[in-house]
Amino acid sequence: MNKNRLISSRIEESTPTEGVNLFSMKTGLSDAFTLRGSFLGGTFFADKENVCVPVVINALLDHGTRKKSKKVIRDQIEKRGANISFSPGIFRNSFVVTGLSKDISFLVGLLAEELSDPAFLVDDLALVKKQILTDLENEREDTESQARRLLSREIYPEGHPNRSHSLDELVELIKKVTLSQIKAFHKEHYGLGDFIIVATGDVNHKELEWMVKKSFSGWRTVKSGIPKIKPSTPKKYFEKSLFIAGKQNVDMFVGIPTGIDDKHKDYNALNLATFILGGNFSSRLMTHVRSEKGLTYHIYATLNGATDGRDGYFLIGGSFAPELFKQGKEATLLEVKKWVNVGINEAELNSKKQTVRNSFKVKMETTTALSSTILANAEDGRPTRYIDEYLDEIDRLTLKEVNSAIKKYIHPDKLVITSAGSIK
Amino acid sequence: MTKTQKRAEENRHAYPTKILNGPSGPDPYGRRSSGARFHFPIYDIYFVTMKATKQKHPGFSFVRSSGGIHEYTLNKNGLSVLVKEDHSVPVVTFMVTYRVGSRNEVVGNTGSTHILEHMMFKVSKNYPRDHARTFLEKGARQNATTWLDRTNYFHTLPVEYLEDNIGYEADRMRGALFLKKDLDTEMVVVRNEYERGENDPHQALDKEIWATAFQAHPYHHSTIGWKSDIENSTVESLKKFYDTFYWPNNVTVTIIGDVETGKALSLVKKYFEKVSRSPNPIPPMLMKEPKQEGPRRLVVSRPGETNIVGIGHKIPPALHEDTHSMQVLGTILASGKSSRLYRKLVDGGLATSVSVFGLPFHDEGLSVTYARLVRGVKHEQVEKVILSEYKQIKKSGVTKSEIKKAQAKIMCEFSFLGDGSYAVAGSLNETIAMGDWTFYTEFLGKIAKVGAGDIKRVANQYLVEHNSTTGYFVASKDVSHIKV
Repeated sequence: MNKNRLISSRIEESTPTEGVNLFSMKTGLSDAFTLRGSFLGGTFFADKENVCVPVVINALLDHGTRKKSKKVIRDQIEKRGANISFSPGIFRNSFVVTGLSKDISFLVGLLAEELSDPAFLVDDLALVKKQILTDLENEREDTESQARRLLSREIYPEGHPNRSHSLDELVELIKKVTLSQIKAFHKEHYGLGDFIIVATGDVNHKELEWMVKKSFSGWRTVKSGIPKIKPSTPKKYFEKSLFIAGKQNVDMFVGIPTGIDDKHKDYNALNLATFILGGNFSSRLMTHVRSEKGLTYHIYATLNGATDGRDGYFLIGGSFAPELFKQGKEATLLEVKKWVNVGINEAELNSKKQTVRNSFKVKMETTTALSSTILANAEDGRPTRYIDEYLDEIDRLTLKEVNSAIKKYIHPDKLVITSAGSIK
Repeated sequence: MTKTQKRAEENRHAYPTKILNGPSGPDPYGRRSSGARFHFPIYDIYFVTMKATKQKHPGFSFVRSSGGIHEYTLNKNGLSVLVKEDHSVPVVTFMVTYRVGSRNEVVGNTGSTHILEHMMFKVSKNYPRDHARTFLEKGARQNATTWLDRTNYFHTLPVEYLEDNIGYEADRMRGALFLKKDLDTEMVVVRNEYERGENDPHQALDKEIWATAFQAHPYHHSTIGWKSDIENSTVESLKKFYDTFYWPNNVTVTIIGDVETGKALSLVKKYFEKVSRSPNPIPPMLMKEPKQEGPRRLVVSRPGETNIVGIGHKIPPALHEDTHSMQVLGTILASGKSSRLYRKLVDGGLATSVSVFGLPFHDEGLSVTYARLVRGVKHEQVEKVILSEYKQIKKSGVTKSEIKKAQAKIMCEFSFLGDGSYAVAGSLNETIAMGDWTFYTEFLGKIAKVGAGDIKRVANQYLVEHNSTTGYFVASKDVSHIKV
């Protein structure tokens, strides 16, 4: 039993209307609130012919509804000093609303209207497509984004949700998005069913229940669920580089699919091990590659892409001057090999357990971090108490479990290394 | 969706360089990207203010209170202390702000303040090497940043570790050791930080705009410094810089969080009182930028895809009476999707994003409007639209509803952007650097008083051609001059 129930005991939750799960937590922030949420309907649910449809829909959501023009809506939001934003995702699309507590009822209503009844005007579609296309073209010179995109395409097969499309593919797909595709996708996937709302700040749960019920009930229910994903398997060791002219920094990524999602019994052990390797300034990578050898400003290791039943991947990211790239890569791989072959020791394990527990306390001092944590937990389908129980699970990890996880899932002879910058 | 979209509105001059851009790349200020205004949390714990002022704290002189924050001076050495209690969570932020930044550098040692910041994490007289890491082990959020007017070191950590942290900061204030072997590795680290910035078209343009706008004043050069200065820094020059500026009478420490004021002050006294005041006065930076007498223009052309227009105008120092009017003007121009330039440029299909960076600094600074161009749009066309909007405001002013909207936006952002002890300390850090920390507590009140007449007046005074520096970032397909 977790004797430090910092967070979960302060969270209220209910289902104010069918298909909507509402969570709220009052914090010390006075007079203001953050409302964060998500629903299924991301790019993975789009037809294979055009996975970009959800992306364009997302960009059009704040371009007016059938009742109000975009000018009116934007004025209404901004004269209250508030903000409503939307982000597309692979499985889940998300939204964030911020504002003063006195306006929460109005803003919840407006959020519901923007999501359920967007205008989808042909002129706005043309405008948004032009903007997205420009951003995609600009991304060609972004070394970090390009190296990362390259990695995902090497370690995952086509059709896997963790595999990015190439920029060329995306450019062509965006051009082809039509209004009828947009309307059809919206009708099929935008609705209640797996809809989560998290409100933090100066909020009252009973009042929120009333607002959500008033604004969202009556909206259609959509069928949704995430299909089972076939896990990817690691390849042989492989390196791939993309030359981008005129860049003074090279971005490098090292990765391997783990084959497990974040609910797997080995996940926490592997995650803690990865944190020891590259989770903060006192990690092995920062200590040896940066502080001792002075090869990089920034290097880290993490596990990604393992939510919603996806088989995730282990990832190292680092930046190097072109003339130091080879040394930097070798120094990184040396640390990975030591980590795999020798493992971690008891002192490291205990120290990092303490770090995780204490840093959780520190992170949770902000309303933003709280709402993100509560939402992520809910998206993962876990009970609210898990937010605190997670710390107990970390405390129970043994040295044997952590070192076994490293050896089981990380194979230096199957790593993929990608880089982008002015190197040949 | 794309990384470019997410970064589209970032605009900052010589963005405060940090010792670490962590795995999640934390922005120490939790700063949002759209434009740049000051955002401070609203405080309503007034009764605590009254209680604190009546108590005496041995060794300290009470200076003043404002907005729930109390200022004291440590009598022995002139160290300034700001304290605010917040018992909502068992966490505290301890921040040390040295009133030295890249404005204190000269040609030949640009970047010194920042390299010194990196070196401060290495060895300190009474602590083992890399002792700073132990705070990470204890769960601290830790970093340091350098900018134009100040350098800060901070930890947000469980309150039980505050004393150890205070002791460490006091020790490295005058006990840091600068070894050549540490400088040899750290120079390469800093150079990579520089290289990463150079990869970003926006940062590259911003650097050049400031370098062109300021020809004498040290705001001319980016805080990261010029590359050759980074590479040629020496232990001796860093030590000289340290011995000139790193003294308690040139520092404000800020303590925000779950600690009683008396306890916080007694810990500060225990560890900082033994640090002597500077033997010589801290040298002031007296350079004033000569009056600009005509428009300045520049182009940065590099291989790539991104095209940007940046139009900068000189603006007064932070403590000038026109600052708040400029902040409201900047919001009306480009903050949010109902702002004038967003409607003309983004909704008009000419730009993917537009923002105004007008953060006020200790000395005369710049307000720069940035627009990222949609593919195929010409720089001249976007510049024309921006200048036309300026002309419109100078001629006809702005409406009352625009002002109200801007004020509401600023005030709302203040409410939740100052979320948590770190955000409060971070905001105070910038206003300490400006020259008066109460800029922070009085900001909202002054914003509320800005009227239409103020906006028209400052637009006519500052958004004028002879005061401008205009830069284009031009994506070039010609790579023949590039050496790989």
